[in-house]
Amino acid sequence: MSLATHPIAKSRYGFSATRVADLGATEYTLVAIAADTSGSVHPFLRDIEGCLKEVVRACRHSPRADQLMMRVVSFDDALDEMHGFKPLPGCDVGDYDGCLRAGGTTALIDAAHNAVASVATYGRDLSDNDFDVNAIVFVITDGCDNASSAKADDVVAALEAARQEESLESITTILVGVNVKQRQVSQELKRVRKAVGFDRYVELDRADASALAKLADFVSRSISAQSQALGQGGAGPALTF
Amino acid sequence: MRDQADVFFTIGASHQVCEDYALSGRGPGGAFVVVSDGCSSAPQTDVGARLLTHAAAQRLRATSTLDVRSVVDRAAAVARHLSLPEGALDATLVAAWRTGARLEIAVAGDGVVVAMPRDAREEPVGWRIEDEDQAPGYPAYRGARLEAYCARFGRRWVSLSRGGREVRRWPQPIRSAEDLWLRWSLPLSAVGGLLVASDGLTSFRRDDEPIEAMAIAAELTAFRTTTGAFLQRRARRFLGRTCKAQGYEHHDDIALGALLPEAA
Repeated sequence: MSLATHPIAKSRYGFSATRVADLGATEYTLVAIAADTSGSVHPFLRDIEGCLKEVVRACRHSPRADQLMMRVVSFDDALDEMHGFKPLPGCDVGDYDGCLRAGGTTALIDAAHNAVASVATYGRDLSDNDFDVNAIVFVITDGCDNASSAKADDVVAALEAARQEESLESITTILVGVNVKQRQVSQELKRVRKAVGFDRYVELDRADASALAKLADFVSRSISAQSQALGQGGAGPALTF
Repeated sequence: MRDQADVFFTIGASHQVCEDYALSGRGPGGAFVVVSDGCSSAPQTDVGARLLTHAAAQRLRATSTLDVRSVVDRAAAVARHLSLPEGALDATLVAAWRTGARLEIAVAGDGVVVAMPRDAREEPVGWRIEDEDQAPGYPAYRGARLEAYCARFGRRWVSLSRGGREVRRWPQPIRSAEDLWLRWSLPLSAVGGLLVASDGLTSFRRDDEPIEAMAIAAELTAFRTTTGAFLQRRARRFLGRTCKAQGYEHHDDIALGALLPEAA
């Protein structure tokens, strides 16, 4: 399957996605994951990578794997698309070995905007071609925004547009704070969650292998729940972290 | 592009069990689709429709031919093995398959066939096969049941339309088991796709007014993409959104098959 690139209005970042003509299923859940790789992530970068691999492994074993499409982006002060939207059977766990490199500052809002706009834009394309679609977005960060060009209102506008167009049957958005040890960071991320209009904020005060394994389990279960909700008219249930 | 084939079936509002069924596949000569509609007043025809469809699909998968007698015999053997009541195989069968440079079509009972022209300037051609007094001549009819059917009804009606307008309608006599099947073929050079359907396609209504089956067929064949479950996507969107927006309702089960052959 070949991927086509798509621009996002008013953004210097676009996204790539499998050509619609190549897709065979009747419905898809779009999964967008944006992982922070700014300099402070360096000590647990491989654990973040392990988390991504575990999510992919779990989703590949899901009975809904053929109806899942995943896109993964890393971000520091810039966004780097590891891969665009592609069906889970085409996501090889081995491809995530050594996929992340840490450095730079944190363009958290840019990443959130790009993730939301990508599912909204591609979801519209799929819906226009008779596919039923919903989406779930995860933005994983260990710190506060200090490098974005987009504003929180841009994310809100992208979310509102996605919901008003009704191309996506539902969209669930989750901000994940990892290794959040300082109260100020926790408060700031909670503020950002509200400002960008995300549905949930979940927080890990550590970033070791066991904490990130727990995160991987939460992410993959949330993806599964969202996928199973497709066709029911609403989002999947909010799961306990 | 290889031949593409896909099927879709769904229950109607007035039914408790879906008695329509459909299968697609690929034989040595190309892709095929088969749809069947079980008789509502006969017992366990949901099973019978499936048996007939599987028997036909098995034959088409192996040979890209449809020997009607062997299909019915095979389905009847399984029905006997399962101790199904007499009448369980009272179900229609509509099949379309590719053999080389032609598309073969076979209809037993009632149903709809629509040929989509390869040349976009041409109009779709439709065949609507209706039985006398809505009593289909089922392919499983043999012996005394067949004789009784021929004596009481003895014919079916075929309506030919072009671009949604009926251009001809004629009776086709049924005097023997062979007559239960209406068979014809179309050249691949002229036909870019086929839609076959159970008579559920004729059951759409709006404000109690029937909607012309060819208008429904036009919606169902407006494929956005042609990969994988292309007919299921179109049918789900049509039934889920278009019908709701247009106020269309359908009370009968529907089975559909679409065959998009690769150009010869």
